[in-house]
Amino acid sequence: MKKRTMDRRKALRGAGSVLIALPLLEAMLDGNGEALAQTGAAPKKCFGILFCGQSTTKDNDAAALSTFVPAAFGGGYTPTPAFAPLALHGDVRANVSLVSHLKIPWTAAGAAPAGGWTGLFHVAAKAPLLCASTEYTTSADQLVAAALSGSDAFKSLQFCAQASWYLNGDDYYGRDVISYSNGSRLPQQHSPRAAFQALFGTFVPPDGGSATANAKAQTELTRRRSILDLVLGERDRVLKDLGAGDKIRLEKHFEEVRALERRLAAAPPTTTATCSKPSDPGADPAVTGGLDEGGFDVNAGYSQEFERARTFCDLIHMAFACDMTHAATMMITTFQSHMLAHAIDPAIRADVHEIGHLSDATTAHLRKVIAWHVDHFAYLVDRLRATPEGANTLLDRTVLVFKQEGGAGVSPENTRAPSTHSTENMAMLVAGGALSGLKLGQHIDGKQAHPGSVLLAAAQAVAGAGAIPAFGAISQPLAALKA
Amino acid sequence: MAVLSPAKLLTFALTTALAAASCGKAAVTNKRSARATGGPGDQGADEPSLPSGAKGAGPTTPEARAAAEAAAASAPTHLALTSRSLTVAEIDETLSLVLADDSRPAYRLLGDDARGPFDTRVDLLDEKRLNANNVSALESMAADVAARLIADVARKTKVLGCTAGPTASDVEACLRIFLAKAGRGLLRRSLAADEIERFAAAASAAAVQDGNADSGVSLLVMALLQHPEFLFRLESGTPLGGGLRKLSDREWLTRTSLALTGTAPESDWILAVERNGVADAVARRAIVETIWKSPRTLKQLDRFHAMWLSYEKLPHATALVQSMRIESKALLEHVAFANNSPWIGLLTSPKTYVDASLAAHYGLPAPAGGAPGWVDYGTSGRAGILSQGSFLSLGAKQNGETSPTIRGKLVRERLFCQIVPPPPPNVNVDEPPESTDGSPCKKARYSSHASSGACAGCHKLMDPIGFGLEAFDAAGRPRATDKDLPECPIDGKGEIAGTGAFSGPGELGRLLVEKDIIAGCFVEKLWEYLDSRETTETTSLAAMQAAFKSSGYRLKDFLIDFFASDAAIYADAEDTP
Repeated sequence: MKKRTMDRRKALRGAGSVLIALPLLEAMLDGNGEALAQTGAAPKKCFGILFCGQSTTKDNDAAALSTFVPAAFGGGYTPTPAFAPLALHGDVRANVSLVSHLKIPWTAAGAAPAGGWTGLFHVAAKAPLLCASTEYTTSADQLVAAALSGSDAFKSLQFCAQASWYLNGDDYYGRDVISYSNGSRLPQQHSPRAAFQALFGTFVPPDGGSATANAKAQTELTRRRSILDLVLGERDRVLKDLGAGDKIRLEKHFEEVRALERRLAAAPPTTTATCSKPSDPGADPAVTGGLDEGGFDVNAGYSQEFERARTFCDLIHMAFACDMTHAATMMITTFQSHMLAHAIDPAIRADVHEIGHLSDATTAHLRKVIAWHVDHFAYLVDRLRATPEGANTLLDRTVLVFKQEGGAGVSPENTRAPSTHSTENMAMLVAGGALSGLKLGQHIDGKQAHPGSVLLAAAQAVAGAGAIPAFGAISQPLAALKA
Repeated sequence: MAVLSPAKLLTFALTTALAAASCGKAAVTNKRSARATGGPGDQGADEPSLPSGAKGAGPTTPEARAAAEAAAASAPTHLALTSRSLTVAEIDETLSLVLADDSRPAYRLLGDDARGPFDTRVDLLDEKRLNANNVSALESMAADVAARLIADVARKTKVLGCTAGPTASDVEACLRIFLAKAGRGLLRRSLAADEIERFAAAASAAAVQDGNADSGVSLLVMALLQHPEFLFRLESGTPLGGGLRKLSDREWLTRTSLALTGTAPESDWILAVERNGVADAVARRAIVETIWKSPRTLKQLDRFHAMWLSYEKLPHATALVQSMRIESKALLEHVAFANNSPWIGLLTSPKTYVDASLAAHYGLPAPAGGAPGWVDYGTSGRAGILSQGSFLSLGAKQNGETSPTIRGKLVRERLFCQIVPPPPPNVNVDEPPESTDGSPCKKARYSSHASSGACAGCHKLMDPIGFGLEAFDAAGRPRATDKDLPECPIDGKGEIAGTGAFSGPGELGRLLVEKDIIAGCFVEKLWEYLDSRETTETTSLAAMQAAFKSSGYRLKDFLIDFFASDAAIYADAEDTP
């Protein structure tokens, strides 16, 4: 990392005291490998959002909500089947609050209310959910990134585990994005392989690694940079004859290449007690074809999204641990997800989206699908919590939010409740630790507050209210979420 | 839908007149006024000719050439000057061509491109590509391609075109051979001597450092795959004044090859153009005719049709999907390639190409001999591509049910090139309409659309079309009753408001041909695909539609004529250096 002024690996190797020194040393270091006593600065906090492309109910299932969120509020609640994975993965319930009964305002006629929507659910309800605004502005993760990224190697990460739209046509446009900055989409990375290479391709082998391995890694890094130099050397010739608009577009490309080169040139992250190179995920799973109707081809419409999501969770975990970035998003599934759900339960013969609508899919099916998403969230929370940083854990300086596309209730599309195309009775999960300043381990009644108020509270817990005074149309964080 | 410009919502007199009363301000509209101002439906006896210079030998004297250029420059058939990213498909096809890598690395590592409905849309490509994630993914893709090439000794040997000897100079010599060959294929031009020196020096240094020629090969592959001239189709041309630019020979070849084959030009084509130039239509025609013979041209035009008619991905079991895709491609090949017959035969063909399984699926007789072959549709009510499972899957719901509304909407959008406005905000489009009289039958349930004041206008333009296809389910199988409702008979009768009645996909296709609707829309979509943007230039479109008609709707002649014509080497350029 750029902030480092000393190659700790070399220093440790020279001292010949790696095994003895590490525990004590790590307790004294911040995430950048810098001694806290020297810098006097607390380690930067981290912020993440995981997204599930499904609502909390099935169409026409009036009882759905009561089976989705617990009846009781407060601590010690019993998770419903949808949230059962919170009790798995080391039982992270004490670190997670469930905030329910949230609502994005809507209208069936006239202009959309502030921070709300009118029109088609899969189109118009997105901006209020992502940006707390009727229009696409800036999503919460990007507010945090702007406040915290500083000299981070990566301003933020955007991943998407769902590998494909799986359907024809142009409806996919924008449905695989949840990060926005000043109205511009920040495309999600779909390839775990590419994400791994980008994040950890320059990772210095562990202390005690062979000199040969270290030299090989250094050679590969140098070579990647020399290749980018070759590419950048073409800039002037390529731009010379292009029109002004094309020059601007190509310059943006070259700027990203230069940014990649800067990341390669920066001192690479090294192994510490908390920061290590994740396992190489290998080649990406194959992306399969479309959906099936008759024979239900289990090879279609599912591309090992479980494994993809797990890899992305591991990358986010370690990117936070190594202080490579402090903001990340992952779409486990996309808006209106058409990923087949047979891998979640072979009895489910529908895709994630259709489960909410089909009469031959059950509410139990829906809960299983949501639980499948929550499982990834719980897994990541557990990984963060299991990562010690001195007296604390990585989770203590992280706030992680899980949100869904919709809730349960009425909507402009269907005022005869309940509908899956609703932003009423929405629920979110918020995870963190001792340093978050949030009330955790609770089931909190959102009392019809905008989900943006949860995101604002979470973002402020990480970056401070001074840095993020408001979020879209929301100026007040959810008070009930604050400790 | 992706981005729709309100400015393009021009009124189509026929449908609007019918719809305006109930569909209000947002009536079904044509995207532009071309049809009303000189499109193929209005040509009459005064048929326009192909663009100037598109046929016959080119001028041979400087004066004649200048005159021809002036005429061509004024001909209203110019695509826009467009620099854009290569599509994921174009990258993968080029890697297959040049490096024999058929693993679709771009699709795997970059993710698929958005469709609008074509993957060539420059605005969508910009959004997907000009960002940090993509640049990182490109580097990973380059490393992935290089590593697999090195690991596959047989393929590497074939691709390199040489075997490195034991000495450093041997290695460098082989690297130079590979660089010249792969560089030409990937950058779509021969590399200059100074480029060879720079890249070969870096590759040789890597090989020497590692004591392994493979390191040099890997470096070259990674550098070329991240080279901006590989990743972008760059067009600058030379200024002619009046907002026009003339493409260089290389730019013309790249544009033509990508359009027709979806792939970078083959090395032989590049060398031929570099050696002889393509200054006149005769030279260009020779190249285009060669390109047309490439099997990649059929493959890419099949892709174009699949994007246009929305059957790239079909919601059926893999084996059935493969059979359907082969069926559709075979018909295109039969009509436009093997016989160079009128393209409109695609909609009227009385026979189809099926294997025994697909024939049984359709309820048609199996092809003779057991192998896939042509069978007559007979009296099945089918004809042409609209009767195939690929098209009839249009807008299928995942539970195997059809939606007359979605089918009708897509027919309006894809076959009429009209824009159907979105439903009002209080409609859940994922839910089928509820019955108003207690009947479970689809026709009764959808009748609520016709009786709903807010919905009736638009639905009258969509639902009757869909009901004309109802006798075929979402996988193209014939049926007599609603799905799981034997008490609900299907009559299969449909109507296109303002155009005529039909029954089944065969009659729909014939109606679209007889009313001179489909060819104009086809050219409009083709133009969008070629122009990499939603078409805004109606004069050029009208001229192209006229040219298609005057070609006798022969796709081969039409496209070869266009890309060989002088008009194809000019481009509208608002963007100047």
